[in-house]
Amino acid sequence: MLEQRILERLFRQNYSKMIHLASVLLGNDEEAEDVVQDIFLRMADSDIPPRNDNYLLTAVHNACLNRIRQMRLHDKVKGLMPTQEDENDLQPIDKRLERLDDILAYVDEQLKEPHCSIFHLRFDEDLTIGEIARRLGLNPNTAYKYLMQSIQQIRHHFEHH
Amino acid sequence: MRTSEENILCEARRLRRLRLLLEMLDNPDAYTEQEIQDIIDRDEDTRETYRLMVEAKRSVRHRQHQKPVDVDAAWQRFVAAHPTVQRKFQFRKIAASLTFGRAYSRSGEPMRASLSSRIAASFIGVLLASGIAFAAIQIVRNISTSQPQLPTAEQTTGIEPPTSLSADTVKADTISAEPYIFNNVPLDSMLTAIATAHGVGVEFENEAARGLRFHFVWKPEDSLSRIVEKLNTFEAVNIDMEDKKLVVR
Repeated sequence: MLEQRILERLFRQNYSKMIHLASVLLGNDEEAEDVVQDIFLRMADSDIPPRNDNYLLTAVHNACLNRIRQMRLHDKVKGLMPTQEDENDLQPIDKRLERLDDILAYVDEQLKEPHCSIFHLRFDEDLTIGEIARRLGLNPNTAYKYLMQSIQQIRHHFEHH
Repeated sequence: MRTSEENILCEARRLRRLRLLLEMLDNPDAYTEQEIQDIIDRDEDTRETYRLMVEAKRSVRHRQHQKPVDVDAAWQRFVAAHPTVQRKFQFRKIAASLTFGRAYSRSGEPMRASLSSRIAASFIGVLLASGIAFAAIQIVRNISTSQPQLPTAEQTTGIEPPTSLSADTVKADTISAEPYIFNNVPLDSMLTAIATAHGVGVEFENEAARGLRFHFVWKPEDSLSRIVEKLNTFEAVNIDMEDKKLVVR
């Protein structure tokens, strides 16, 4: 069993990064905390501390993917979770987080209005197209069109980067 | 070669598929699992669009969760949510103190032992290694007087270390949380050590029971009620759990 002061030091050093990754992947703070606590719980029972911080992040990543796999398909799509294995998941975690930064930077810098607002209403506030259309005083068909254009624009940009 | 008319048709069909994807995402409960899967996997374009939307959502969460985290509070929640971990740590400390004469308070801080009691503990350790347990008991009874609820040197003498290594070559930190064996230890000492690990007190209504000696295997993963249950299987013992204390009757 790992010594308490070692476990506490590892917890204090790594918790922020771990809970961040789990929250990004799961979109649910309670579940994210559950995943991270589980990892430390298992670590408490082991005799050897992890070799490096990446090990812990990889453990979080794998645990989150396992939880997502076990979710009902309906819940997956409601939370915009992957429905199947994604080859991007094989990339290093820091690279993937960088890409997430890049996507939002691109949205804020390159999408014009009302596309940028529609993107944020859809992904930040989880509004449906009908709700977005009402909020912005648009026809729902127009809101659909703008959202699709935004997604395609982002997709095409990142396919080439 | 596609004609421009075919291209327009093709693009219209593509937009219809994407529209269907967005409509489904707005109201997935209106669709069966199979329908959802079919919509997402209709073709590579739709699949990639959904994947991009997953990434877009993650991007937003990534930004939303940039605020600093209260790690202190998280650690407290972790310890509170997993009392077995805390108990195992307590167990390790108490096992260490029992073996090496180090005492710990309930908060987990090592307590200052007097020079005489430290010397006594060390001396007793040597005696233990030499197998002169009985003599040590007598010596420690005369020396150790203070620190109620804490493992005393007397316990050290009556308890076999779980390993065969000599005390001075093994750091307390390296003791594992394997079962701890109380060998011929007075109930008073044994129960105090166990109760301390579980954050409860001990009261002896039956004073005569204090000196009863037991051979008992203490497993850190056992709950307090389980331990009490096991101890109560001894004929001479009747222990009850009452309001954060163990009462011996």
